[in-house]
Amino acid sequence: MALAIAISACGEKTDTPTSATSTAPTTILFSGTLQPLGTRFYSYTMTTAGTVSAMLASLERGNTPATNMLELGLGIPAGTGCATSVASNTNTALIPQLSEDFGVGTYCVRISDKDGLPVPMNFTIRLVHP
Amino acid sequence: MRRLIMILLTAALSSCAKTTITSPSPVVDSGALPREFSNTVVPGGSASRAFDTTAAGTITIVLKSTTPGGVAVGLGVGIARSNGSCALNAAIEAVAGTTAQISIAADKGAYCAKIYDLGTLQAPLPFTIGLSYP
Repeated sequence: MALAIAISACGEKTDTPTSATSTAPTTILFSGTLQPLGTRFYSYTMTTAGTVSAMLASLERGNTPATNMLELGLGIPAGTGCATSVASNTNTALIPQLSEDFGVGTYCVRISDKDGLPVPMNFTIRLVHP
Repeated sequence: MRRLIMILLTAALSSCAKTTITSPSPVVDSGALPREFSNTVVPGGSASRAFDTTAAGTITIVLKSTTPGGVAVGLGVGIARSNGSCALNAAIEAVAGTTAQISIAADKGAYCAKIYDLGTLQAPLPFTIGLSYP
């Protein structure tokens, strides 16, 4: 009897590796023209909580990349603007300059020229969220 | 009889201890891979090639050749827009060489290399660009 129980229990031991279900992150590119001392912002909606990363990837004057510092921020739409909860003065890079955790909801990314660009310039921001 | 049962029970339980659990093996990236991009840039124009990095790492770009040689052009790297254009992050004035002319850290994502006329081309210029990225 004990032998039957022991063999029976042994036969039911089937461990199968499992993999976590993951959803590919969403990548959004925001492009536009920033006027000297101007501000632009864009809204996006998150249906899954997680980490948002923002990258000021390009700032161009014609075909020429510019190295001017701009303020890049993440926040929540407020009235006709974007109230940032995190911001950084940065020039362009191909790695994210900002990273912040947010819950489900509607948020915004903002770009501002605080120093005064010599001329209007074209920019591209890459945003990645869950 | 009692002793026989104990021996059989011990043997049965000891065989259970040999259960092994195996997990899927991860695919290992062998690192940056060299690629080439050949095309022709026309006077006043540009040409670009989009590519995807599969992990964060370093992108390197070299203008390997132009025909004729010794011609200076704009060479840049940027982020690939969905409309096919290449928004530049960094650019240099380059003539063909053999060592990396642009080297930049990049996140995983969609990028592009771009070559463009600096305003000096008198005729279409065939070229080859070498790319390396993870």
